[in-house]
Amino acid sequence: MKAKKYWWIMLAVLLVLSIAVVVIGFQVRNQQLEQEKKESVLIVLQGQETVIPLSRLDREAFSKETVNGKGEKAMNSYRGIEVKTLLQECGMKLDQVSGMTVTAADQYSAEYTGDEIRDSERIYLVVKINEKEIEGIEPGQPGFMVIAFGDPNSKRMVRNPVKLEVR
Amino acid sequence: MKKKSTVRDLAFMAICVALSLVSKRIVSPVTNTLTDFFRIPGGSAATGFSLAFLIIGKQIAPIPFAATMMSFVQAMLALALGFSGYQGALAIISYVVPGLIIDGLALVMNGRHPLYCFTAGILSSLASAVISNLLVFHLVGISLLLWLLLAALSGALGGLIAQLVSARLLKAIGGNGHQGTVTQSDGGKGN
Repeated sequence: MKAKKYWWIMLAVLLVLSIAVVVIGFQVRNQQLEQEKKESVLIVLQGQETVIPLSRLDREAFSKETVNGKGEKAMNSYRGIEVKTLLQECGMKLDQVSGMTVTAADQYSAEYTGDEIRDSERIYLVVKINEKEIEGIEPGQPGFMVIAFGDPNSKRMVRNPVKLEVR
Repeated sequence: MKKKSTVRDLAFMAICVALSLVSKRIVSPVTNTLTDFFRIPGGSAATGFSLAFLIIGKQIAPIPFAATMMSFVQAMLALALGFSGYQGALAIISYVVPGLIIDGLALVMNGRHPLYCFTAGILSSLASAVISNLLVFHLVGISLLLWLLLAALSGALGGLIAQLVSARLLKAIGGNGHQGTVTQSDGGKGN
């Protein structure tokens, strides 16, 4: 009888632990998925949505010149990835790309042609400028930026776009 | 608790060390599917099954600090074989502390309590998870809670397995290990 009591105690502990793991596990999973969504890029590749974590964008370091809204030139160091490299990694054939539309949270959008994407060292997704992480939409969150190097102004520099649509 | 070890005790302890080391590798792919799903680091969910063998070893060879000795040998083997993962040399701490807890609890509960294996499994697995978190993962909040709950669950299951296996082993070999292990068949009298 006493032995049975101990078995019941052990089974009860196991049951409570299992239920707690499942309940809290799903909470953690949902939290992590939400976080991953915030720290990722949504790319629509010819109608198909692909979510890419921001960590995957921190690929190469390079220095390039940009022109700001006032026409002032600045040389900065960046960390990021060329859009064409990312598209190739996603299995896209570059000769089939006709253009890309980048849309920010405030609906500001910028267009990039297929030729610009295919050009070498032209359109980049950047996660760090001068070794400083780009801040995301929410403070403290990591973010990224689309930069078209070689442009005469900063109109096509889009910070934290919510969608990159590749046609 | 007996003071002197026999060759049989040492042989059992060596087998338990080897099984403990290997079992984590075998169980990990299964437990990792669960931790991957919950998006927390793997490891804590497999530790309990590995610690089960230390508890079995302690039950079969109830000499002072048997579990600590086994865990220390296990740590050395893990370091030599490159099983220590991200913890490197600090893995010695995360291996030895659970062993100390298994031994300490045997002193407190005299190793005779029917809930000894179960409790030792939970506490030693929790200790291992806390140390791993302090050394490597640095989880906080609800993720840490889940990490610890998984460690406790695997420790509980490991403890239960240890209890069943050690009771049957003691019966089979007619050993002089700890008495009082609960089995379903003997009504809790042990061997």
